Amino acid sequence: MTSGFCRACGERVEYPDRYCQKCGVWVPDLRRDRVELDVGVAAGISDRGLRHHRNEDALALREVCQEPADRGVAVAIVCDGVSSSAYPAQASETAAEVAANTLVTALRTDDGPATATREAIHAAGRAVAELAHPGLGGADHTAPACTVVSAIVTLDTVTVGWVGDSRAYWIPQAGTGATPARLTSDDSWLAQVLAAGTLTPAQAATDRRAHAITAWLGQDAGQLNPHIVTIEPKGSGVVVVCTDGLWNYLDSVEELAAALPAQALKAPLDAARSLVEIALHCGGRDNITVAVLPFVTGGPS
Amino acid sequence: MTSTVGFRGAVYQNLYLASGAREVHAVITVDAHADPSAPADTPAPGAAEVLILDCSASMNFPAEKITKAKEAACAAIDELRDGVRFALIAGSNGARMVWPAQRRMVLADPWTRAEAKDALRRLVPGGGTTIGAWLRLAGQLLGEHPAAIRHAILLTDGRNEHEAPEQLSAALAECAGTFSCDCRGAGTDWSVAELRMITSALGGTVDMVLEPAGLAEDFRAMMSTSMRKAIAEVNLRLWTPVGATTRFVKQTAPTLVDLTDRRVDSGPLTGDYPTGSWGSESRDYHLCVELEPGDVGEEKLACRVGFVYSGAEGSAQSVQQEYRHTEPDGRTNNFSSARVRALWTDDLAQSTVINDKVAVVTGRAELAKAVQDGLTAHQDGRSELAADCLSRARKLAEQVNDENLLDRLDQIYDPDTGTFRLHRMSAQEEMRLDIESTKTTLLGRG
Repeated sequence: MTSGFCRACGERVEYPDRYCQKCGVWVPDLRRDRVELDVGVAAGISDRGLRHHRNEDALALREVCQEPADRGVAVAIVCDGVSSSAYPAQASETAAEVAANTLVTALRTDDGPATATREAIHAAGRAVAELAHPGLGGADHTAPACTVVSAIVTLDTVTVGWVGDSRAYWIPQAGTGATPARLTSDDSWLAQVLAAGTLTPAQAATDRRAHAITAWLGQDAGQLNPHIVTIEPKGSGVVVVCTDGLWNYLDSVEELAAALPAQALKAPLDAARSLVEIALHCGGRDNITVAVLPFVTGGPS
Repeated sequence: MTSTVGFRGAVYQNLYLASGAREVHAVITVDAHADPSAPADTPAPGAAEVLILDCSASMNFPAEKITKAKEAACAAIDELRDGVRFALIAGSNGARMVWPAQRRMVLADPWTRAEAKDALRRLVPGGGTTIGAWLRLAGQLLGEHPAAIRHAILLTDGRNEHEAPEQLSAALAECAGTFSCDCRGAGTDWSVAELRMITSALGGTVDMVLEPAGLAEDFRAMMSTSMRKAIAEVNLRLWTPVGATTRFVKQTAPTLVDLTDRRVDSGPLTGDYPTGSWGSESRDYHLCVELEPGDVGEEKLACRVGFVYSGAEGSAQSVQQEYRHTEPDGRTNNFSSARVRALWTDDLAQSTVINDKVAVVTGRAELAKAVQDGLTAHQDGRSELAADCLSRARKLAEQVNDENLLDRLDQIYDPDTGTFRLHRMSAQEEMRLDIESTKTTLLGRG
């Protein structure tokens, strides 16, 4: 259990209770409520949003140096804790860290990005499953669970892997003529019924199950089948990885591409900030996590 | 004694407060479950029971009254499990031991139960009514067994006429927290307010015995309920932040009991409210705390509620407990204490919402007050005020869907004239209405 200090009266406050034992004021979790990371080749933000009490999203970024290239391989992991499960914040944090570390190790041992991604998601799945133990969180909750989406940007490829409904997009630089694309497809009830064509998008969107995910990491997840996609972009652009806290407000790839600042390629952290700001401005109903990974071709080498 | 009871509860509130608002309301529902691993027919550890029978002269009129009272007491004695300590007290001018003869309690077994019933049958009524003295003797007997789950049953047919009201108040102050007491009134010459004063001070139920024939069953049920209690002297422990004021703490079901004035400070920011002994049962509470207002967007913990009991050497131990909290978006979180929160907002759509469970308990409290105010006004001869109060009660009963009270009010209501036939209400109906006004049904647990 970690602790902090009440900003109102200075009393020591213990997590996870987060209320000052003396004056009752709620003390923010400085470690999770707003996380801004910038590792040069990638940047990202995880934000609690405006409505939720804690941030159950997690973000991990890494740069893997590969001699002789002077630009390292960028790795991003974004996870969204399943709020109806026990300890969703721990699930997402564990998954993000384990996946990122596994990816780094795998990439260093010359595994290709796709193989490394598969290993990383399976390792994260095992780690989240191990968080479960009997009696955890009471009868109302299921075993700890979360989504995962990873992105690896090398000098010539972009590889994404995912389980759940967190997403990755490829947004080419304006003027290159290339079309923005969503690289992932949601493991969700909504995506399933739309694919099956049994309901119209309007009917399905109003169903209370619309947001239910059909695959996740966790003890009760069953056999994991990570989706993995690799593209080889012809020109520069950025990869945007995010949780539904962002895409709920920017559902289509066109909307996202339009919202992304033109400077994203050079200033990924500023781009992530702008996107999070949009989600907060729209109501910030969920936790918001965004990572931006520039893909640079023919740049200064 | 270790706790064999687990509490599961839920917190209901609107956590949003308007800018500058101070008052936070919350309803906390609690369901206690005796440990299923404990054998079901094991007597509660160290239970102690005292039966107090009114033996004043009026109990002889009609003679059936004392006969039925004795039968009821015998039924209660039969319900005592082996190993439970018990004693019988006869009340008149002062209190005297019926069984055993000495001022002490005896373990129940087939022989002592038979002896006690014999002694009971030889009782002859005579003298007056001094309930304070009766309770004080019960308190002395039960005081010898501080570790036991202590309970008394009091049957009377009259008002506390032969001692000063202060003597009863003093006895209640002396006995509060040491035992609970279920009170029963026979006939219509006793005072509902008086017995209610006893049960709200000591914990317990009030009811009226209409049919002497039903008395034995009632006594058996009271004793049986008491035998199933698994944990004694449970306190509701309330934490409030610096600068907060506790406006009230009320039990709202199964009966209305205002616990506010019964607070005993247990720390610089905590206070304990006695809730008596618990078996497998459910209760609801309504709390209101006044806070120093925070800025818009700021959140505070308004109060934290948990239950404690007296463990070894009188130290307070936490009951095993868990409470469900529902976020505005419907998500739930469970914590080992009930947390009531306050979040200041300038969005009126959020702050003006009244939580539906808070609305129901507030309505029920107003309903009880309207009925009692109406009856008091009627007794004082202020029939216009009485009618006003009861009309309001009828509307409230409709709103909170209290079919029992609505039915009783409708019996004296004339829909053609829109008035109440107060003059035609019998003493019995009046007392019944008064008693029923504080009986409530538990809130739904959804």
